[in-house]
This record gives sequence, structure tokens and C-alpha cells, in this order.
Amino acid sequence: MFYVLLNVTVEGVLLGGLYALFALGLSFSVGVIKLVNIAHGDLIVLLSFALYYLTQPLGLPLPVAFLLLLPIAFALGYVLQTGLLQHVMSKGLLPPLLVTFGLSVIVQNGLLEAFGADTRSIPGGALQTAAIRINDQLYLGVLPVLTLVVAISSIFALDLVVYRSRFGARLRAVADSPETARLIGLPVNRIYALALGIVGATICVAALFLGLRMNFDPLSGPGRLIVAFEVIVLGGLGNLWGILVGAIVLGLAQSIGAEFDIRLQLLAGHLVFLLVLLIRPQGIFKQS
Amino acid sequence: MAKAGRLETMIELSIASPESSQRTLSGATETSVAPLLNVSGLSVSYDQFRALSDIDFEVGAGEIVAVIGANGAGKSTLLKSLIGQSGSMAGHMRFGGKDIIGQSTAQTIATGIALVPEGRRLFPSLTVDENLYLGWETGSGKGMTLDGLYSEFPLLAAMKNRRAGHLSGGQQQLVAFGRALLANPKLLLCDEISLGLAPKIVDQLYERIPRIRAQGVAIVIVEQDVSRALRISDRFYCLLEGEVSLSGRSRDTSREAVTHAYFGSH
Amino acid sequence: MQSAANPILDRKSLEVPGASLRVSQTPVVVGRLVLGIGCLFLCLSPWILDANALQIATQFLCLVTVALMWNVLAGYTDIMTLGQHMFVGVGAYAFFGMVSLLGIDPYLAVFAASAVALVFAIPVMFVVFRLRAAYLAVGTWVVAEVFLLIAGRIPRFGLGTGISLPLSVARAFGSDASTRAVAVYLLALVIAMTAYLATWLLLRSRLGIGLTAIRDNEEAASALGVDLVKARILAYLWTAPFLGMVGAVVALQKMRISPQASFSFLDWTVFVIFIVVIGGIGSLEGPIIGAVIYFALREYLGDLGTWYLIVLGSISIIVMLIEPRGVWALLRRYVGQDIIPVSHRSGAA
Repeated sequence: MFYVLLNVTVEGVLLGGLYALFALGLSFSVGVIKLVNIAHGDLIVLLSFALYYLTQPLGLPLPVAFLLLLPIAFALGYVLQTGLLQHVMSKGLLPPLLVTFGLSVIVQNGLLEAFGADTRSIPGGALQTAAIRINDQLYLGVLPVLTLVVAISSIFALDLVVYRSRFGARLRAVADSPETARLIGLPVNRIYALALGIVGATICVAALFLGLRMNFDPLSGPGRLIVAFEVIVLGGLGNLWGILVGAIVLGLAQSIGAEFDIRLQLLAGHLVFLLVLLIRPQGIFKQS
Repeated sequence: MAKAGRLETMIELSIASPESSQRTLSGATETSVAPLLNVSGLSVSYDQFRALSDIDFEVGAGEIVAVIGANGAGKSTLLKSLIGQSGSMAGHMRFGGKDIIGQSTAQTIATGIALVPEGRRLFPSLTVDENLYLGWETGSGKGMTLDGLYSEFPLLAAMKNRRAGHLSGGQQQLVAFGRALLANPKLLLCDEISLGLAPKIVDQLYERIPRIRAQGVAIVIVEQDVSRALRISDRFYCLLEGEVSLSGRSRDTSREAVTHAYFGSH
Repeated sequence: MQSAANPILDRKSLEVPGASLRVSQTPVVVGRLVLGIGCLFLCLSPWILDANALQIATQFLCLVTVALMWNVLAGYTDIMTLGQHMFVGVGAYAFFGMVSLLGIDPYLAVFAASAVALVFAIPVMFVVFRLRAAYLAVGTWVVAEVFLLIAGRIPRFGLGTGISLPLSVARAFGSDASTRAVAVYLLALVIAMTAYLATWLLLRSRLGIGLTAIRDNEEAASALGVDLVKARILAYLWTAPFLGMVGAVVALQKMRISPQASFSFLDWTVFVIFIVVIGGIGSLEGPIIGAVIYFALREYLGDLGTWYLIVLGSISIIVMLIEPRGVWALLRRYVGQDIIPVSHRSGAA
């Protein structure tokens, strides 16, 4: 019984690692640009497909494909901001939402056209099956542990960038007040674009681990968006380390739900989310 | 148009050489150095609202010029348009001989105009040091450094690691000043620096103005308090509903004329 | 004072941009005539169109109704909901429950579905209103997902695969397919017209003027005393009953309920949003124009499902970039007035 509980807990925490990666980019764009990108999940899926395409039909080794895609993902985020989002951000609450919504639909259907409706995954070979043996009743999958480690490292790295660098001061300045930033001559649009470039890079990392750990298909995007969204609301909007906490809470909720009935997994997560929303709308952490 | 300092110098010179006195006094306008800032025919609109109409405005090097007027007269708009942060602009603007209309704010700051915005406008979640750094970074990079500022304003050094959002109004105003000074301006624009502050604090702030001018910086002061504005400035402009209703030397105007120009003829 | 040499413009005569000249009344009259003829056509459709065309017309009416409702929230209170397909599904499931499990008269059940939807709307609103703007939008989506998942776990309602409506229900609407098609169509027509009439009256009422004020400028409206909170609550609860009835009609048309079909995100949120965005947010004319464009495009792009969506998505984005208030806003510059008048003063607003 104890080991059942332990396994459920471990699985939940490790799932949280993956969910934290999903949420990282969304939290960053929400915190700095004040933008909830409805297409966030679809962009993760898009990059997962790109990785799939680079490794499968094209046969590149996965690390090479990833390193190739990383700067492209950064550029994608940058161009998305300068080419599209920049022009609607000043038009009020709805236009940015509606634009990213339209983008979401376009990406999903573009992927359907290009790849068809089949589910895919990125083969990771030994990485996906290897496990660390703690004892006879407890094994830790190497990939999930790696995911968690990467998630923690990414949050740590972002924390350094945002709170301990000069560039981070500029990010926080425009997050505080874009108008004031303009008044003192900061290149607000370029800072937004760089921020979204960083988001693109985090999405690439998320895409890697999504593809390795789960099946995905062109319509998987909204599911990832909802996970990312629930994580950042649970963890406190705008709080980097809160992402980890929120992700683990969600992972645990889903893991426990799945233990009762595999089909309850998603529902359990949603219900916990709604419960926390009712009780503590500011999330589990106070807003920073 | 002659600047106060230069005019006094020229009068001294003319006394020394009497035959040039006539020429100096009347010729001062044409042959003197062009004003640091020369604005002519400036009109600014936001969508359908005309904020400024046909403004002529000048500041000479080392001058202190006050801009007074009721709320909504266009004072802040004027300052913001000088750094390129207002609505659609028409007219002419020359700074240091160069056309600056249409320039980006960053470029304008780099060429030597800095703004102390209305309401302080610091970044509350950043420390004082970070706020100041951002001001220095967008300036020309020459002139005062952060350390230099800290040694001149020990009060700032003492609060350098505090979050700007936790400071009092007077402290924030000081930081806003410092931030603008770090941009190494030749022209400092002060927008309502006395707003919301205790009179004693305002006095202390205003004591710094002549000191800043002494270092060769021209200053434009937008101020609600008319007496204070006229006391500290060499010249003044009064705005009424987006137009210049009165201008002249601050010491030479009558209270009556100012009141009339401030409120309009009703 | 030195003045500028050779000003390019005589500034005193600078025209204020956007000021309109007196427009002729003809475009408005034409617009109203078109609208009137359209309504007449819709009323006479059972005699004009065949069963297939009537089905499409029924879809059109359902879509227009749902679009109007999304518009009330997004266009007048700045609430973007991504979850209104939930109420359509609730209406469908409630309808099934009432006719199949409780044996209620089907005609009555269609209208009772509105009450059920409203009852569910209240607690949902309480939860999602703890969020704002974008978070609210995704929040409504999450709640809709929850409803979808729960609906798929109820044995009596067919679990994940759904269940068909009993034939007795079909027969209650007519003994053969074409009679049924007419009956369902007329139901949809009544619902659509009621929705439009009621919403029109709402917008012209004191409450509604507050909503229009919010649409134009939220801060100003608040400063003038419009209670934003009450307005949002009102708008959200206003939409639920109509969405529920549409759900019942949809269930009737398909003669089936299922989680994926009844709670269809694609049909009742994605397409609806595109329709309103393209047609025109914040106006009564917008949803109609958008729905017309949607069906017209469908005729040409038809069964190319993915390309159809890509095109719609792209047009929506372009609309947001160029004229956020949609096609209607572009037309209105020529027409000069609302075709469906909401304000109490005639004249260019």
C-alpha cells in the first residue's frame, strides 16, 4: 500500500516536471508582455512535429535536431511578436486574444494538412525505457527524472536572467509599465520581441520532452495550453518558482485520479484547479 | 532671443566698448548663438483632440524656463512632444541645431534631452539602483556615472537597494531626478515635480535646480505653483487651451497679466 | 515670437480627422430593406426550400443565435469566453434527459432547456468570474472541458459514445422527414428571432445603454456610474438560456447527443468567434454579416475542412489588424447609421 502511494506521488511529481516545462513559456509571456498566448500549446506541438520531422524522415540525430531547432524557435517567437502581436497589443483586451486564437486554429489545421491526424511521438531509444532502480517496488524512469531536472534548471536559469541581469531589469521595467519605459527611451518593442524569443526557446525545450514522453497529434495543442494555464494559475501568476509548485500539484492531482481510473486523470486535474480557484484565486503563492 | 546669462555678459562687454553698445543690444537677437531648443509652429493632436496649436517655444543654453497653465492646457503634452512621446505632431523642432521632430525617444535622449516625468514614474518593482541604471543606459553614456551620482547625492546611495515602490514621494522624486541627470542632458525637462509633495520637500528639490543649471544644463519647469515657477525661472510661457497665451521674462511680468493669461479672458 | 517659415498647412483650418459629413439616408434604407427581405425569406423558407436546404438554414439560424450571444459578451462587456459551447451541450443533454428520461413534451423540453442552462450558468459564472480577461477566457474553456468529461461518464446519457434520441421524439415533430425538418426549422427561427428581439430590446433599455457605454469606453462608463460587475453578470446570464435552446435544437437535428458532438468546441466556439470577429464585434448587424460570409465561404471551400479553417483564421487575424470592428464597421462608414438601431438618437454616432 505504501509503495502504491509512493509510486503515485513520484509519478505525480515527475509529471509535474513535464508540466512545468509547458507552463514556463506561458508564464514568462504573461509576466513580461502581459499576453496569454492561446496558441501556446499549439506552438509546442508545432515544434514537436518539427523535431519529429527532423529525426524521422530526415534522420537527424535527436540532439542535433534539437540544437538546430532551438535558435529557429527563438526567431519564431521574435518574429511572432514583431510581425504580428506588436500590432494588436495596443488595441485593447480582445484583439491580442483573438489573434492568438486565430493563430491557434491555423497552426492546428496547418499541421493536419501537413502531417495528417495520426498521433506521433519522438523515439528516444534507450532514454525512454531506462529506469533507475531504488528497490524492487520503486523504479524511477530516467526520462521523467531528466525532465524534472531540466525543468528546475530552466526555471533557475530564467530566474537568473530576469532578476539578476541588466537585461532582466529591462524586462521587469517594461512589465511594470510600458508607458514609463517609453518615456525614458527604452526600446519596448525590441524588449518584447526578445522576451517572446526566450519564450520560443522554452517552447522548444517543452516540445522535446513532450515528444519524448507523450504521443501528440495536430490537435493536442489546446490540451497543453490548458495544462500550462492551470499550472500558472495554481502557482500564482507571475511567479517563476510557483510554476514548479503548481505543476507538481497538478501532476499529483492527475496521478491520484489516474490511480482510481485512468479516464479520471484529466478530470481530477481540472477539479483540483477549480477548487483552488474557488478557494484561493491568487494561486498557491502570493503574487510576487 | 538673448539668454539671461549671455545678455548680462554682453552688457558688460558693451560697457567696456561703448561704440558697440547699440549694435550689441539690438543685434543680440540676430548675431547671438541660436537657442538650444527652438520650437516653432508646433501642433499636436491625439486622434480627434487638438492638444497643442501653433506653439512657439525656445530655451537657451543654461536658461531656466517655466511653463505654467491650468490643468489640460497642454503643458505635459509639450514636454512629452519634445522627447517624441505624444500624438501626431506638425511643426518644427530644433535642438542644438538639429531637427528632432519625428526622432525616436531613445535618439532624443541620447542627443541630450531628458525628462523627469509627471508623477515620478519609476519602476516600482525595480531597485533604486536598477531604476537609475536604466536612465544612464539610455543616455549618451558620457557624463555622470552612477557612482558619481551617488557621491553627489548620498541620500540616493543610502537607498540604492530598496525597491522604488517602497519609497516616499519625495524620495521617488529624487530618484527620478537622478535618473534623468544620468542621461547626461543638456536640457532637463521637469514635469510637475512638486505634485503631491510636502512644501519642505519641494523647497529642497527646488534648491537643486540652480545647482544643476550651474553645470550648464538648461531646464524647463512645468509647475502648478505659479509663484514658485516665476521665482525660479528666467523666462516663462503660459499655456491656455493648447496655445501660448503669454510669455516673457519672469521678473518683468505683472501678477495681473499672468492671471489673465492663465485663465483666459472671461 | 518667432514663427515658423512657410507652414505647410494652415493649422487653423485643420480638419478633425474622422468627422463625417451629412450622409444620405439611402444606404440605411437599403440596408433595412435587405434585412426585412431576409427576414421575410426566412419566414417563408418552409415553403421555398427543400428539406436539405432547410437543414442548412436551421444551422444558419443556430449559428447566428450563438454568434449573437458571444457578441453580447465580447462586444459589449469585453468578456471573451472560450467556453460557451458548454451551454449548448448542457442544453442538448438537458433536452435528452427531459424527453427520454422524464417523458416531457418535446416542444416544452426545448424551451425548458433554457432554464437548465441558466441554472448551470450561475455557479459556473461564480467560479470563472474570479479570473479576468485572458485568464477568464481559458478558465471558461477549462470548465467546458469539465462538463464534457463529466457528460461522458454518465451511463444514462450514453457515456463517451453518446446516445440517440428515442424515435418517439422524432415523431412528435412530424410523421416524415420533411415535416420534421420544417418543424425543427421553425423552432430555430423562433429562437433566433426571439434572441435578436430580446437582445435588441435589452440594448435599448437602460441596462443596455450601460452595456453599449462599456463597449465604447469601459473607464468612462464606470466613471458615469455604470456598474461593471452587474453588467458582466447580466451579460453572462443573458446568453445561457438562448445557448441552451440552441443545444436542444441541435440535438433534435442530429437526433443524437454525445460529448464530442453536443459540446462541440469547433462548431459553437471556433466558428462562432470567427463569424463575429469577421462580421463585426459589438454590433447587432455583425453576427448576421459574419454568418452570411461563413456560409458563402463554405459553399466555395466546403468540405476542405482544414483549409476552410485556415482561411477563416487568417481573415480573422487580418480583420483584427486592419479594422478590429469587422466588416460591419467598414460598411458602416458608408451607411452612416446602424441598420438595427440601438441608440435613441438617429444620426451618425
